Amino acid sequence: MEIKGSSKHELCKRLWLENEPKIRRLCEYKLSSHPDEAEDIIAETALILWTAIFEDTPIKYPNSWIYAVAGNLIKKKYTELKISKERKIPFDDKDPEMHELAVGYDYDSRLVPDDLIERFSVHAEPLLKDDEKQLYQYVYEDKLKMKEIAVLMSSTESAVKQRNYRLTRTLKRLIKEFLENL
Amino acid sequence: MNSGALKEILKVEFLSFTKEEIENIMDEELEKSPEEMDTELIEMCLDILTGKPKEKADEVLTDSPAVSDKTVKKIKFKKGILVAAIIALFITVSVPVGAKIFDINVPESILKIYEEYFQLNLDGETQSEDLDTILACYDLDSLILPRFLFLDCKISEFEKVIDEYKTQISFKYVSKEQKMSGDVILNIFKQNMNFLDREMKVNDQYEEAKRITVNGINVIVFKKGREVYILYSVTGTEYNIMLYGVTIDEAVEIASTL
Repeated sequence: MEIKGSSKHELCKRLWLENEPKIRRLCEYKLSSHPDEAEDIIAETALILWTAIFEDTPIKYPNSWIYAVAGNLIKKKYTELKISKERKIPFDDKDPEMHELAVGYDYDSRLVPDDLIERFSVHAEPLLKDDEKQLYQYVYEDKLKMKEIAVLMSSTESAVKQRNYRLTRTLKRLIKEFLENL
Repeated sequence: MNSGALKEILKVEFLSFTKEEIENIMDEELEKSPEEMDTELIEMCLDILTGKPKEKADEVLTDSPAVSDKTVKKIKFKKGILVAAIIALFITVSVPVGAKIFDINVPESILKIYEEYFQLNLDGETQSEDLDTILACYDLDSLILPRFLFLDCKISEFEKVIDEYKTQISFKYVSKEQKMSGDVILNIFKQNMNFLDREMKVNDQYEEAKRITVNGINVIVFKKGREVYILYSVTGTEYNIMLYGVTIDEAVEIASTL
């Protein structure tokens, strides 16, 4: 989305109203023990947004741009304060309790005929990165366990699981876009 | 890429992680450039990490190419393709005990008291079996239904039930030659309800499904045993027509008469 054709003031206001609650939630989570610092970062993110818009800085994806600004400010603050993870609701890193994270882009695959899946597989392959293709091969075609894949990819089981999640989400997003553009 | 394996992937709805893993996923996403960042994923992770109760996802406006759509739960009907065709079937059935509790002596044809709403038939019970007449009687002339219901069928058990979200119309039909019968349920949602906000799910196992487009309306036809369902929606109204004793191809032909 490019910013054009709108008064800068109105645009800033709209973008900030949309994004402030999300940025606030992120900052309050990441700096739960430092609420003043969290407020500073929220204010600074707003200021950076306003400055960028009024100085005609090209911002192609405003919502993720705002998140990126806040994320960088949080990272700098961590370095400055010499802190690591702060969590609004503390938990133990070793806590094995599992939580379901939605992959998203859900739809009824029964309504997508096999020939379309075939076409999609040809369409999708060049869109994946090499490591994604490799992971796809291991997980879905060779049907290896996460542990085995971790060894093959010189990684940890947890990291492989997370990468598999991203791959699944990417593929579901790609097929949704593919079907919408038919 | 093996299309069988792809089909399996596309069915995956959730994957399980520890909180630490979810935090890592979120942090990794925050490190990305705006072009690659998936803000919806960040928000889903925060939902879990902050203990937000599981509810329908809020609409999220994202505009990075990593997430080109507005929300995963929005159902779009575009270009004749149903991307997420999931429809919930509601039938509220309750025992009309209210009349007994409140000692109301009104015939059920005039007043039916249900648990959460009441249905008042001030029009008087229509004796007509003709759908045109019945719909006119209830001021429902603008519904879009297959032609056979108007030409060849006797209608019975017509009901119109209004609650805070919608008006539900239901009736049974039998074709005059007794070859076809079934039920029709329509949900007409209130103006202030965003049809796209609601989540719809297919909860049953269907043996066969087809989709067609009729006059710009996307229609799904499902077969389950001897029942075939025609499902579609048009500007705030959901249509669910069950046909008994027809093949799926016959149902598709019927649907094409909308």
